[in-house]
Amino acid sequence: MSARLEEAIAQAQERSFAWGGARAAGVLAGVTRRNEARRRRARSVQRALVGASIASLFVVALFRSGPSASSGTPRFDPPPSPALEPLASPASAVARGEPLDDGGYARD
Amino acid sequence: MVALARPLTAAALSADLDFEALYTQHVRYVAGVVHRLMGNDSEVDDLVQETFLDAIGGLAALSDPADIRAWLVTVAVRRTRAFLARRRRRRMFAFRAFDVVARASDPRDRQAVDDLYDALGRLPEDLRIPWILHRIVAMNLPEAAAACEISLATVKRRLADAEQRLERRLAPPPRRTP
Repeated sequence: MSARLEEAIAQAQERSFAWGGARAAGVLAGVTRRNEARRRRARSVQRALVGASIASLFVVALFRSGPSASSGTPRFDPPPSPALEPLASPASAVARGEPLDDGGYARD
Repeated sequence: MVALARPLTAAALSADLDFEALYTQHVRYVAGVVHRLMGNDSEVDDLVQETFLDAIGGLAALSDPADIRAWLVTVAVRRTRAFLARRRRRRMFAFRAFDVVARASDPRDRQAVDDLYDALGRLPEDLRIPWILHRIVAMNLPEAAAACEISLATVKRRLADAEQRLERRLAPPPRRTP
């Protein structure tokens, strides 16, 4: 290492650094203030999150339950559709010995 | 504020942390390290404030309270490195002049130290910080490596690199022969 660099290092090590009580107290006050502000921010974010989750739970519960009796809107229940009879095929009618309906064609 | 005669114990840290006592006990040393890393007084207060603000958040995760001073220095080094990198980026885009803050109160002390810090200001943070911690703050190599969160081999390599560059920058200009 050169003499110049060694001299600069020695001077940098010996250089005074003023750190008094007032300065330390000022920095501590700043730390305390910023920490309080950070805590307040965290608390308000937490409150907002809790509020949002409660609101979303409420909305989900509302949609899942459907209209209530007090809401005045009766639930619509469609009547059961009548059962359709199966169509009679001509082959099964012949097998049973029934006369075939030719739609009046034979008369002509 | 109450100055502690003995180091904080794990119980004191975990049960009822007296942050003010912690601050009183370590702030001068931490501020001294930041002052030497920066080379001037202009940003020391802000960096110390941010260091202790980070410390409040990280104290719960601290595994060994006996090493609290080394841990605080690591936090301060991290903060200072981020600040220096940010300042370097700003300078690159804004072409701002280097600091014009007086770095020492006694004018007789200024020249050599100012030259040294000008040369250090041109080094990357990764070389500058371990060099200052080892040569000016007088940390030993393992302490400097721990503070920079790098291995011992890396810190040795960076010290050698930084020293070589500083020698080159601080060398007097060669005389021109007519």
